[in-house]
Amino acid sequence: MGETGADAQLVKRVQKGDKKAFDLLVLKYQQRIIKLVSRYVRDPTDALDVAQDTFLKAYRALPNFRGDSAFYTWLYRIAINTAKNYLVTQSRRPTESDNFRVEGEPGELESMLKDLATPESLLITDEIKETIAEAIEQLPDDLRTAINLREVEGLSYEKIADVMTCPIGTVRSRIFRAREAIDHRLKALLE
Amino acid sequence: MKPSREIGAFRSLAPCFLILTLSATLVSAADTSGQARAILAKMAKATRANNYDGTFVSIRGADTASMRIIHKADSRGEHERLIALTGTAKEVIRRNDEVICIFPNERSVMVEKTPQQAFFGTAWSQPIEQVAVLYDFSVLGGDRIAGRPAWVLGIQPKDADRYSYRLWVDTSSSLLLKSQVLDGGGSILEQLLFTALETPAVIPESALQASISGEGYTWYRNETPQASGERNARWEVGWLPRGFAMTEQQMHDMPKDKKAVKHKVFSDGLATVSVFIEKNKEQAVPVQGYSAFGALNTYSTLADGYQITVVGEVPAATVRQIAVSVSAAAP
Amino acid sequence: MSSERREQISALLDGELSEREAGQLLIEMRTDPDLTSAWSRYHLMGDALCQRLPDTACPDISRRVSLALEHEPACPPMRFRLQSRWKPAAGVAVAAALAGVGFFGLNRNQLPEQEAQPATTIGSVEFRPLPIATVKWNGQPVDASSRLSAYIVNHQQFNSSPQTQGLTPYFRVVTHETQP
Repeated sequence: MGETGADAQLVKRVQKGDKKAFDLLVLKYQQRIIKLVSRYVRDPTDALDVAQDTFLKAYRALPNFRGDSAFYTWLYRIAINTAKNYLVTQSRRPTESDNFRVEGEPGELESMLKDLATPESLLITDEIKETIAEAIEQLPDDLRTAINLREVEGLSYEKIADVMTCPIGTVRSRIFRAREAIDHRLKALLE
Repeated sequence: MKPSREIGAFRSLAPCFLILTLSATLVSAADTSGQARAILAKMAKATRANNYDGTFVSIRGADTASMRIIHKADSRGEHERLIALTGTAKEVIRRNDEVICIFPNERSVMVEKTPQQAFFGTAWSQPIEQVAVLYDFSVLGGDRIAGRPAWVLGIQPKDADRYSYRLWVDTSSSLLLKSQVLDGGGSILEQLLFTALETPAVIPESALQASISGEGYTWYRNETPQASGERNARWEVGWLPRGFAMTEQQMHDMPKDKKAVKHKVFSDGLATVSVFIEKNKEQAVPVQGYSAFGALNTYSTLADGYQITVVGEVPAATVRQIAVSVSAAAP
Repeated sequence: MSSERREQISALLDGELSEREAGQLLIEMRTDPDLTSAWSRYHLMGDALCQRLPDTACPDISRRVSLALEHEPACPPMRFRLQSRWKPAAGVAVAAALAGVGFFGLNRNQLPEQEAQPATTIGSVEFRPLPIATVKWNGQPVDASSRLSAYIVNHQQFNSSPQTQGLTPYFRVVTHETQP
């Protein structure tokens, strides 16, 4: 089954009217989409808006998604289009943002946006990466191998069982224990 | 996930945007919005549930035409007759979902069953609050149309991607007396105007009989639905104005060459936009650029050997922007 | 939050949970925010390991997306409705034509070849397949014009403007003429 199998299950649920299942797709793909969109849209707040818009559009178009392609391929396409359209709209309406600045408190908004790009906030992604790397470092060998084969190499449980010469149930449990160990630290960081 | 410092900063921006947008809209007729929407809901109901007999003029682009409408509602449902007063004497008789159209010049009669939905659109079947996110509703004042006092209602879009509407609704019967579709500059694109309207308690069946027997006419009937051929959603509409969602998707065969055409319908609750996608034959003359008639705009373009055409009661810039955003989906 | 459930989440995320188990779990996830946040963090790990995190920060936009979706209807089962729904024949059905095209007319000279299709008889009346609707259209080549006409006729049946809330959309059939 793999990753696409999980997506297919969720997509099917959304198509049957289960909105909550869509939240799970958002949680799953938001970082990838924000990263992708940020390649086009420099401004961080705008990038988040475009990312949000991408998910809204995806939700609306989901009744037509027939699963011919992977869900992420489809979502990727929507994100690119949304980002490009945003750029077109921006270039089309230069006067609007000028007016905005004149009417609002001059400079206030800009300084707030600048705050977002201070070196301090740059730490966040790095902090997460570091924490996870450290946690993985400290895992027992079998857990570390299992999680790496799954996340980095993208192998199915069956393949991992072959590689590690153990039952599939053991693979499932090792991967879970690895995630639990990493999660322990990640949770501490986020809280 | 608990918000990090970064997220906190993003969130702190939100109220500031909110205040900016609110202060702009608060002043504008927020007080009559609820009233306007209540009148519109009553209008939609009265149109179906009341008896009426009226004459109206329709103006669209350079065309002007006049017709009479007789509508009866009783325990058996709706019964309606429309008669053209200008040009050829076309007639339409509708009994609930069954529609008969008579074209005397062509000596033709058409019969069709139509889904109830098609009559009253999708607009008021969805919560009007959803539409109110995109349009400002207001009561603009009072007027007199066809000798009847009327409310004047305004439906003003909150962005430039769609048109605005003005409706005159009879204060006593709640029936529509006049309507206009306007562009951003306030120019009238389409207009409908009743010159006479009565609401009789009883309408005799004879008033709803067609004046033509249909004998010796050619009768046409819609064929049974054909299964749509291509099911793959290969095309994506990358940009739509805010609030537009897909309401329908169909496959058609074009009448001349039976080529399959993909037809997607999008609506914001009031305005409707269609996107047509069709493989362009080499010998066919491609349609390109703008066309317009009344409030209806179209824009056509070619993409990857396909003819993309967007048709809708929205400004030309909007149909164009939608058309150029259509692209083949990733395989 | 039981460790069993979290293990199921871990398996679901890898696409290794049976359909039945997944169904159960998803129902529980609706009501248990801890399960959902575990789902979120497990994915964050995967993203970090595969260099899929944004460069600077990893904001959570799921809440604002879900808030924005509150105004959206639940995903309509479009495909099912479509199949049962009436579809225009030959591209231009009567209702499609009638439901609001402003300049509908019949031109016998333009009746298509497909008129040769078998006519059906109901009672004493013989029915024929539909002819083409023609629309007066300026500014485009002739072929393009008839193509546009068909598009417009098909578009009009979905018109949901406020005007059609106050008057039967069929009025357009009768009001406007096709010019030769």
